[in-house]
Amino acid sequence: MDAREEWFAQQGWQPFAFQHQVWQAYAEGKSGLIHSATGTGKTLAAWLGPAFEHSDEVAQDPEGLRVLWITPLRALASDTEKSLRKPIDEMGLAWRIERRTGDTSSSQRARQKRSMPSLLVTTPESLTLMLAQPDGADRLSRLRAVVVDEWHELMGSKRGVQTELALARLRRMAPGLRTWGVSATLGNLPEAARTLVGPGHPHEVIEGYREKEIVIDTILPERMDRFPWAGHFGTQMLGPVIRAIEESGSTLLFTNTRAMAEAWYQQILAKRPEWAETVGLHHGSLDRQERDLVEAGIKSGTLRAVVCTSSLDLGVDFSPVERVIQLGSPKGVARLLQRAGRSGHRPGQVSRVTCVPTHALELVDMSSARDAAEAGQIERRPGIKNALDVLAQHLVTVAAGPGFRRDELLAEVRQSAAYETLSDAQWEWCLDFVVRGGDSLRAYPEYQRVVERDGVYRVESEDLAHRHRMTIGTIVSDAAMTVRQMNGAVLGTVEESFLSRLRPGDTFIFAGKALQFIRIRDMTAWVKRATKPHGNIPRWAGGRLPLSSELSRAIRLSLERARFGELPTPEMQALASVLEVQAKWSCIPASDEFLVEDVEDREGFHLFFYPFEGRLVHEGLAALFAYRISRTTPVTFTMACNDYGFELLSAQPVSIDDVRVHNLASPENLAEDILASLNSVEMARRQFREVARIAGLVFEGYPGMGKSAKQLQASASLLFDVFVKYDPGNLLLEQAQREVLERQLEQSRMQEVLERLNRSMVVITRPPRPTPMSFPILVDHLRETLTSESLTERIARMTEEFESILN
Amino acid sequence: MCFDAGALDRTLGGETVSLRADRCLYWPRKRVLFVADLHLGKGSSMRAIGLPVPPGSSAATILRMKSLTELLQPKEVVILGDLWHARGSRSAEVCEAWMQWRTSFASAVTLIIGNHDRRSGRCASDLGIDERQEGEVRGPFTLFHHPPSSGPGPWLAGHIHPGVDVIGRGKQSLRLSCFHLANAGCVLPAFGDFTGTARIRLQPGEEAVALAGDRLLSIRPTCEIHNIYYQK
Repeated sequence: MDAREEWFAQQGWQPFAFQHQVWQAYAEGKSGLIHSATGTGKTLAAWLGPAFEHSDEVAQDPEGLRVLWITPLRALASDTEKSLRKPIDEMGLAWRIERRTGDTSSSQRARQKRSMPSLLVTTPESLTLMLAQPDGADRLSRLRAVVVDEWHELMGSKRGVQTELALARLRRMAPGLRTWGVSATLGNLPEAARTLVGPGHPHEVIEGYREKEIVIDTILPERMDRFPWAGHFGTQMLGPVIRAIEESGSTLLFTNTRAMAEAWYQQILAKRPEWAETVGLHHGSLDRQERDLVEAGIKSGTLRAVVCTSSLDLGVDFSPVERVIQLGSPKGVARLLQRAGRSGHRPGQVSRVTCVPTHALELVDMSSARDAAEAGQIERRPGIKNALDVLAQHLVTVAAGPGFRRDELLAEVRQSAAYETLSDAQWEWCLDFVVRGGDSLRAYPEYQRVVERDGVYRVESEDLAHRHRMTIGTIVSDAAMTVRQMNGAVLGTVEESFLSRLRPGDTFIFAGKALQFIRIRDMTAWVKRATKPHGNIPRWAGGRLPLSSELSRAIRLSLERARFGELPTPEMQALASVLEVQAKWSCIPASDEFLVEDVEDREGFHLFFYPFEGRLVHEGLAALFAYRISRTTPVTFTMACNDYGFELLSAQPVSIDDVRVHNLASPENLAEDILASLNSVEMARRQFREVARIAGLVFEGYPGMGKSAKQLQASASLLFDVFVKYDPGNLLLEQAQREVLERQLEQSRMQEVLERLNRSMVVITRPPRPTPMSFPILVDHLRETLTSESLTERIARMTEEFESILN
Repeated sequence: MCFDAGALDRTLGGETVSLRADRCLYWPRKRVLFVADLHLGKGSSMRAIGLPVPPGSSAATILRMKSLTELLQPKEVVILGDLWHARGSRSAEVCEAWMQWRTSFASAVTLIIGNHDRRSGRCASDLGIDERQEGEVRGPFTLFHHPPSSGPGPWLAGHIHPGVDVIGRGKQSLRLSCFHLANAGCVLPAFGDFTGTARIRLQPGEEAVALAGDRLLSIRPTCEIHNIYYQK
């Protein structure tokens, strides 16, 4: 029995087989990836390998960093530090553990510069920042291991790419470095592991503790005939949700958007004012202090319930949480499992997630998500390839640090999965970009960021190096304004676009409070508590998650079974009456059918198409179909879509038959037609904001900068126009367009979808009125044009009409 | 809302002035050409601090100035502030382009000093510019860089870079640079190629004349701005 096992025994536990497996692999010098649901001892598996093996070395010579622990959220760093420290202290091992994030004080950072701890908990950004210091390499040369926590959060994002580049660099500075990752289960684990350790490096993929039971159930509406076919924030289920909170211990209520979290929090307190002190609200726009208080309340068990968004998807020990409630569609299988894992956060305990539909068809999502989870169909997270903006930033980072030789750095960069296929031309362009501005033929006058001397590339101006270090990172914040009460308390941030529409005296709901808007001054929105308890809720951009491919597929299968009368789950049984109406007025499509509904009403001629592929794909398809129809018939469409399908509405009838639908869904000329059909320039202009920020085109400034510094700022959209006009060959423009096609429109998924639709049998129905499936799309379409209050009324009226028809 | 070709006439202080789609205001009776906010050398000053911005926008702005003066043959060009962008804006490239136009144009060029001009330092060489403070008068017009919040009109000013959002098909909105006619005065659109816009809110009685390519578009708050159907 080694010290680790003794320590486990003292806790009254026994190491799991997978923990032994990881320790063994580590001792053999291997790298690898550990995956399983949260709360199953992955941290101890990853940490106790290096902690044990290098402790003698650390004891003999405490100077020098041996292990780096990378966490995606700096808010997690302090909890992580504590949980890494506990076993070490109790085993009496000699490690000195510290953390370094954006929150670390400058005195602490200066101390670390003189003497590094033996284990450092840090974020990708802070790690990159260390690489941008001239002496960074010396401080990292004794590194033995890197552990990347919550790798699934980083993988597939530009932060993941940034981490890959940093890891490639660390491997060269510290030969023999072992890389370990900790991840939730993903649909593409081999790719995730390969991306983490770098292509060509041998590694193991170890599955964590699996027997952890996950229960997924649903609160069914009491009377289906009174349950809406579409809702706004769907608080009709408030009563049962409050009962669920009363029944259980500490509860987390997950919503899909910040606006929905605000609405539910408001409704719960309106019904139970006495819970004001014991129910919390948590989302990414609230002030950090407020969020810390809520997190502390969960850990200590003083909060009975917290309404939150994906802001609480991550995080260490929330062991008092007994129950998780998912409000609205889970949108993805992995997400639902991750959220379920927030409860019963101990090996051996049952994790339970209870779904609450906000309208009828969401019952299908819930039933299907459980089917997919049981079948192990988890979403994939493909890595990003050849992102030139991140590479340009990295080149300046290394040049601002120790400097680089071109062939050495190219070889190093190609060691990462993100750039293994980087072409010589792309590399040359990036290098030219940071050295000369334009390509080799068009050097920019006065421009000098990176300078080459004797084959070494460096940032020579300390001013430029300093400014670059301040802009490292790939997180592009929205144009948000601080919301501050007249008494000085900061509540959080709300998007500028929402605040700029408010007039003084208007009320809105934020941070769980009704607030009266006073004025905007110095990039701050000043507010005071409002006397009336209602108002609009801000909507944050990017708030709407699309349905994942895996869940979409499961939904098509559920509907197919329903069509043949098979209702295997309580959710689907509850939906029987609604499905019956759908079948009677139109059709429930089988998975190899493509349903099109053609409906005429006062508004005009509606065509509803149902690919069941998620909102993003439907937005692209709607624009594509509209464009392809208008090529032969001049007609103007209004478009709307949800996760199930999309609508084309026109003032004149459009004749449609199955041949035409097949032509519309042709996968040929997809890229050309997408670019022609959408205002792709406008979308690329918006995407350019991120690209320009990362590549260092935009100088965002810093607190307290003077007016003359402000004169050097230009908005990304203005820069976009200047580039289009004066340097149209700039590869960053091409990247922005590629990101629009790939990320916003999911072009490759659209291609697959069109190929599937093209093989499907087209079923065209002409229902007498909007069906249960088209109704939510209609509501979505109204949402764009009506204010929230009149929308709620309108939905209520429409629902009543349908009920009277049904009874 | 109505479209018009390249120019729209408006009466200000009893004088007829022409708002033009090429981003200037022309007073035909006295043959004075007004422009605002050229922000020359913005690219240069950004490149100088390591921001890779392509060159060419200042030269293009000056070139448009040249074709305007050739077309209209004004007796005076008045720049309503912010001719230069920042310290370091008068790079060799920009000054050369400027002098090329200036030597070809025989009449007076007057600059009402704006906030950016003030920060870009004293002018080293003679660029053929007569610098004046705000409050300068031409006929009935008082000239400013910063639009006056009150006081008698008519006045002409710049500084704001006014723009309006026009909502079109598919709910896509387009920000158009514009003239803003309000309080017995007129704020001119930014003339420079590398300048942004700030969205203005029209009050009753005001008018925006937006630049839509080579045409002008008059917008008054009586029409529902957010439902304007606009197609290029």
